[in-house]
Amino acid sequence: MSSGSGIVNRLDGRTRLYWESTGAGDPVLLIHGLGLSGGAWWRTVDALADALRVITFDHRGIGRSDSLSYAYTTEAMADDAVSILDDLAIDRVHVYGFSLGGMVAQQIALRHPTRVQSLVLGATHSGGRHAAFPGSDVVAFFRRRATMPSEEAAWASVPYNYGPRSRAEQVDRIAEDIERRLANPFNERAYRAQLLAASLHNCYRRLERIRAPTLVVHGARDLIIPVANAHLTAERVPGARLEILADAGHLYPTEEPAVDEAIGEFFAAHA
Amino acid sequence: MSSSLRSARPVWLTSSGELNKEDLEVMAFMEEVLERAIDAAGTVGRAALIPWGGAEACVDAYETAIRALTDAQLNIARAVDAEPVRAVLASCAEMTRDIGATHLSSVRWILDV
Repeated sequence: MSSGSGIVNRLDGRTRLYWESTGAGDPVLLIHGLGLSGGAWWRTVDALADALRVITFDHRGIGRSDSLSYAYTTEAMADDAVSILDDLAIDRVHVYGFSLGGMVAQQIALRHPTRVQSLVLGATHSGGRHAAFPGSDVVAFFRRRATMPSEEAAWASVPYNYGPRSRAEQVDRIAEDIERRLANPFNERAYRAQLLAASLHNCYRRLERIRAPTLVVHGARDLIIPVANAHLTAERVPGARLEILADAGHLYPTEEPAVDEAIGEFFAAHA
Repeated sequence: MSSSLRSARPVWLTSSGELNKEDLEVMAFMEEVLERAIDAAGTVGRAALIPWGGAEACVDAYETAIRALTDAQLNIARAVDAEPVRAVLASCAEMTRDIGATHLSSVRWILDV
């Protein structure tokens, strides 16, 4: 299996975006969520790279990407992602965004529609007044989380990130996730900037302009981004397919390994 | 009343992040007032923008203008082969885009377009 990695230097001379590419075939760009590096996609990369060229990257200030200023809007994060495609000379790509990455994926589909072959929106929301927001306890936790030591924060996040079945039966997989996550130093400023980007995100009314074939995936037990958002998104994007995972929480790729295969089939159907 | 307002400080300013019943009541009241104010502003805004093609067209035009301005600055930055001028121009382009995006997000929220 071929693989590679590199750095994209942006025009400002200070922003350096780290990317990795694994496998060969139609390219798929994976965009991860709040505070996580591209390395957090390790399970999905393994599942998709047999048939696809899977590209992951680190957002500004996260993992091996560096910048003087962080990305405070999902528009900025979308443009960063597209700059990686430009650097790799990739015209069109399947885009799979998860959580905050799903918001960035929406922006790519709206700002750069010719670049998107198909779109998967995982555990995300479209923002705006119609979005369903998490409970105040969840919001309070994620604000508090920024000041916690990394390991404590990772374990304290478990009840919010995973559904009850997973917490009871998949402790080893959760521990693997956390071990991977702790491999990257936590950048509080970048995390807060991303939190602001998620708060400002607002694509609800414009979702009907998305023309790429779209799959919306969401865990029914998601506490961070309530599942009602998946229904709203699927209703707005023309022809979108909706997949609700009955027992999964927010981090469904850990809880429902079969979903990666279904997503791979979706990409294959829209090659 | 003053103690209620003091206790209604935002969640992220509290040390524990835990809310009591009084906090929640004050927050719910403030949310309702804010929601009504936004609804009223949205109604007025949509009506005011009808002569210019409607709220959605105006917001779209603003977004197009922001993108054109951002792209123009980036193109100039690409053409300039001198640092730190190129870096300054690129940073200005990013600032234009992000400030515009923040405006657009707020305006779309208020006008619901």
